[in-house]
Formats: sequence, structure tokens, C-alpha cells
Amino acid sequence: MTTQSFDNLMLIGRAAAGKSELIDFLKHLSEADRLEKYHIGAFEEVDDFPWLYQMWQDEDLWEKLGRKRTLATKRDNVYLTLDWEIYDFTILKFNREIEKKQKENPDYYNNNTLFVEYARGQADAYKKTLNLFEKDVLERTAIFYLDNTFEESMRRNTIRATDKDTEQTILHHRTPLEVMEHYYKINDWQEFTEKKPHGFLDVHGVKVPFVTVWNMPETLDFNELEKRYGPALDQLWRLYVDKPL
Amino acid sequence: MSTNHFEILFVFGRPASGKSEFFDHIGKRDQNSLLSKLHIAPFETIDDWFVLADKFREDTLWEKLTGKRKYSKLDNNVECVTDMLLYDYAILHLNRHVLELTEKHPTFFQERTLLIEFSRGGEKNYEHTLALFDPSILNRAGIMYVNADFDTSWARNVHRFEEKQKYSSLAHMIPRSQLERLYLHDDWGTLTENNESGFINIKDQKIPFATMENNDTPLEDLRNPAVMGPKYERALELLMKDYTTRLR
Repeated sequence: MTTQSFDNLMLIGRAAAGKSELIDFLKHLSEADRLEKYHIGAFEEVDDFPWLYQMWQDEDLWEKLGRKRTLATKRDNVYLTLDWEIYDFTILKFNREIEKKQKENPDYYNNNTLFVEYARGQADAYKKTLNLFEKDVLERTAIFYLDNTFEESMRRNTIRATDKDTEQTILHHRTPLEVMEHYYKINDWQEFTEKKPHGFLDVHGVKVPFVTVWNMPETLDFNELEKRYGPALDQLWRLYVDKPL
Repeated sequence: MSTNHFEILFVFGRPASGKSEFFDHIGKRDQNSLLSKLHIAPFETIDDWFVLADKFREDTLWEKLTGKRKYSKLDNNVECVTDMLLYDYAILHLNRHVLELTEKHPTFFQERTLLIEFSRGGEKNYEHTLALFDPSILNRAGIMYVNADFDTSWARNVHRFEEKQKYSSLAHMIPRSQLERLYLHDDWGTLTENNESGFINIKDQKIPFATMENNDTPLEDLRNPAVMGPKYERALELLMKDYTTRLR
């Protein structure tokens, strides 16, 4: 672990909680500024949405060959999940991708923070998911949870739909309403963290630091965003460097 | 369609027939002679192996998660396809890639050649496989088949494996049973009526082909440009003759 910047920064929260917008905010800062203020210098993101989307798209090909769709159905160019195991699958893929980055460049974390971005829902959402990460990954990880209400997620998700409804991209991947209702309505974050705003989660015997940020109301004002994210990232940094072994 | 370079060149032949050596050759040849002697413009290559390998990697994760692989099994640490439809899937993947490429870069083929490499036989023969491509792709294509029979292909595979073994204990080799299933018999001779060049008909598209004999080429000559250069030139000259004829 380096002492200048986060190694893996896990960015989680409901779909449309503002995760992509946070990344967008950080991208507008200079690298030096970002490092000094937020302990994030150069950074890269791995997000499971493109993997999910690719696998659903690939199923279009299997369907052409006469196979039944099993991962997702398709309606008006939007995919509706059928097989929820795929969400666990992509966590294993995160492990592999993270391992690959280090293998290809052993000094990777000297210069980089890797954002690991995903959203999970249902009663065992984050407890189950975090347990799928490898211990090596967790040892280098801090968790930034963006919290909001389900209603707010629904509202933001609906806005995403207005102009790009037929296209699912990183900033505009509207989640179908059925999936929002079925999958994202509840999750176990508050229970898992015992409603603490920050602290450590014990996963595979690793103390993983976390901070929860209330991300409402939605704002695009950078000064407001700095006030919201700055203290939280600072708190997370302190936990990260002082974490118990 | 261009009249001096191939827009799409399919490169077929059994594993270890000499396809990789061909790619190695054109990668080292200067652009002027590549265009004038082999009719290949600045090129890109796509290969179905990457699609298959991606599914094998997925299978490793599925096995970890569910205890079961979806598309393949491990035989002496080598992935062997169990879901034979995966071969067709890989072709649809290539097909989609080319269609997307054409859509994004409508002038791509004016100055470039796209080489598409794969190997088929057995229950997934060339006639069946080529029919999975969109007619707009077949319409731009010529085919070069690098001919080596199964025994030659097997012997060269064994040789490759033994060479790799000298440098890495991780060297592995596809089991013979797996190779036999797909490559013992292919339909190239039937499809082309054993002609050296001409046309085959797929989906109402006349696709020119040339077969380059590579069965008796000694191992040490496979990467020798002085030996292989003239062979490639001859085959691709024959192919270009038919490729341009099709335009008239």
C-alpha cells in the first residue's frame, strides 16, 4: 500500500446514486489538486456495467444460433436481467482484472488509484458481494458508499432515460424500472455497517475501511460537491492509513 | 470494391498448416511490396481464437462460482470445447465486429485490408461456417487456404509443443482427440472441387479462392521468406485475378 493515495477505491451505492457523477467531478480536477485534496492522483475505473452489457449483447448472438436467452431478456434495446448470478460473476471478474493490473505493472499502485464501481441490491447485497472479493484485493481497498433514498434513485434513473433511452452507456444506462423495483429497492448496507457513518467492515478477516456519504439533494455545483465529498474522503483516508492489522 | 488490394482476405487452413507463418511474413514485409506483390493494403487482423479464449477465461470464473464450466472442459490443463455451438458463436462475433467496423468507418476498405483467420472442419465445416457471415462481408472477400493434411498438422503441432517445452514448463498442447474432431477431415477439397483456384458459392455470393500447397514444406522453411515469399505471391496473384474478375 502506498501512503500518498488510495489503492483500490470501491465506489458503491444504488443504481443512479451518483457514482458516475462523482467520477466525473474528480475528472475535472487536476491530478496534483486531486492528490492533495482527496488522496486520488492518477486513476482508472473498472465498472461492471460494460461487462454486463457485453454479456447481454453477446446473448443476441447465441439467440441467433437458436439458444434461449438465459442471462437477460431484451425489450426495446434494453436488457432485463434473468440470471442474477451474473452479478456475482462480475465480482470474480473484478478480482481477475485487478490482479492483472498488478501483474502487468508491479508498481501500479505507486501512481494509480483504481476505482472499482458497481451497485448491488437485495437483502444480502453487499455482505455477499464483498465476500466474493479476494483477500489481496480487500487489503488494498477503501469503500466509499453513496447513499440516497430509493425514490431519489428512481427519479435520477428516470431523468437518465429522457434523451438516451435506446442506448445504454456509462453515464446513461437507465436501469429498467422492473429491475429497480425488484433488485435495487432494498439493500443491506445500513445493516452491514450497523448504521455507522464510517468505520471498518470485517471481510475475510480484513478490516476494510468505509465511509457513507449522503448524496442528496442532487447538485452539479462543484463547490457543493467539494463540501460533500471532501470531508468524507478525508475521513476515509484517515481510516485507510490507520487501519488495524 | 478495390481493384488492387483485397478488402477482406480470409485465411484458412488446419492448425499449424502455416497460417501463423503467413501472418508473420506479411508483418515483416514492407508496405510497398505487400501491396504490389501480395495485394494487401495496410492491414488489420481478426481471429476467432480471441473469442474462444475469452469464453475459456469466463469458464474459469463460472467454475469458481458455480462449480461448472459452460463451454469447455480442461483436459491436461488445456481447454477443450464441449459446446460445439461456441465455434459458430465465435464466427457471429467476428461478423458483428466487421459490420460495426464498416458502420463506424465506411471508407475503411478503400485503403485497408482486413484479414480474418480461422480454422474449421468436421461437423463445423467451411461451407456451414462461411454461411454465418453477412453477404456484405462475403461480397468483399477472397479466401486463401493454406493446405496441410492432418498428419502434417499434427506433426507440426507436436514439434511446436516440443520447442515451447524447452523454454517453459507451462507449455501445453491441444489433445489429439480434440484436433481430430474438428480437423481430421475438412470440406475444402469438396467445396473447391480440388481446384487450385476459382470460386465457391455461399449465400449466392461468388467468393474467389486460392489454395496454397504447404504440405511438403520442410519445417525449417516455413519461416524462410526466400522460400515462402514466392509461394504466397503466386497464390495471392491467382486469387487477385479472380477477385478482380468478379468485379466485371
